Amino acid sequence: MSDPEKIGEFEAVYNKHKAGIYNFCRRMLSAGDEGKDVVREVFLKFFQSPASFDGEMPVKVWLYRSARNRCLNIIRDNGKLAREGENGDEIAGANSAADNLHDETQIIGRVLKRLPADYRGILILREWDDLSYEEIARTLDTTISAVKSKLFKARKQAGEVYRKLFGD
Amino acid sequence: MNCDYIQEKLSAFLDRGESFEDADGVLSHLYGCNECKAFFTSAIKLRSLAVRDKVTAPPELDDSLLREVKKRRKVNPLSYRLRLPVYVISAAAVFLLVLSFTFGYLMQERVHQRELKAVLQAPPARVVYSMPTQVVYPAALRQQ
Repeated sequence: MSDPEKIGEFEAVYNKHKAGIYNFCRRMLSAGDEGKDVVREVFLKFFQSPASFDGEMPVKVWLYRSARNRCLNIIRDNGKLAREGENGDEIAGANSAADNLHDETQIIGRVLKRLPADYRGILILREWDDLSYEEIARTLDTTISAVKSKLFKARKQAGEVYRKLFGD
Repeated sequence: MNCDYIQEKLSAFLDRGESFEDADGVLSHLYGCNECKAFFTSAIKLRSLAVRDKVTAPPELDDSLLREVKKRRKVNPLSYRLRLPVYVISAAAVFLLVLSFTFGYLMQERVHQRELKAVLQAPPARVVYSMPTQVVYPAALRQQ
């Protein structure tokens, strides 16, 4: 395949999946710049190393899996996982601040930030990126029944966090 | 039916929009259970927030990424990689092998023919007969 063809094919894949991958990374990392960096890394990796893309896995699943792994590495490296759950003080003050918090982006950001990374990841894949159970299972390398169960637990915990932060 | 069972059903219903296997049981439980009602309400709320939270990728990301891709695509001519299907490469290898055997055989034949021609064209051999020589030893050695 010639260079222009290769670049054209890459552009088609990029244009199709960029919004989904960007939303996933943005919400996983809660920081715009880090999210953008991960999107860049993922697509460059896809472009440069076709060997790591075995062809049996759909491109979409490959991209989401790659993005998720990179986000989890960043979260681990930044120690964000350690901060998860340490939200007692913020929750206490959140109700009073809730009246002023009109921005839904901030609301959802706060809720997601307080979820464990694996719950956050599965919720984003389902609610933001509309991946099917099968696609999520392949992305997370697990079974469809495990996806169902984990989604339920993630929704339950997200609901609890939302009610704690902002009331019913 | 406990709440976890009902909530798992509700979660699956939200995802696939399928009807419940036990719709009456689930709905009657939902009607009377505040915990499950709260779960369902928050799950729907989360979904509506997620739908409104979706954004498009920033244009500067497109520019920088596509520029980077084109830059990385400029390959070193010394590291050019041959991109041919495997069967073409295999066929070429077999062809080269057969060609080398044929060439070797033809060359061998040619050498043989040249050697034969050289033998045939050579002048006939002449046999030189001569008398055997007799060695005459000194008297002292002759006794031994």
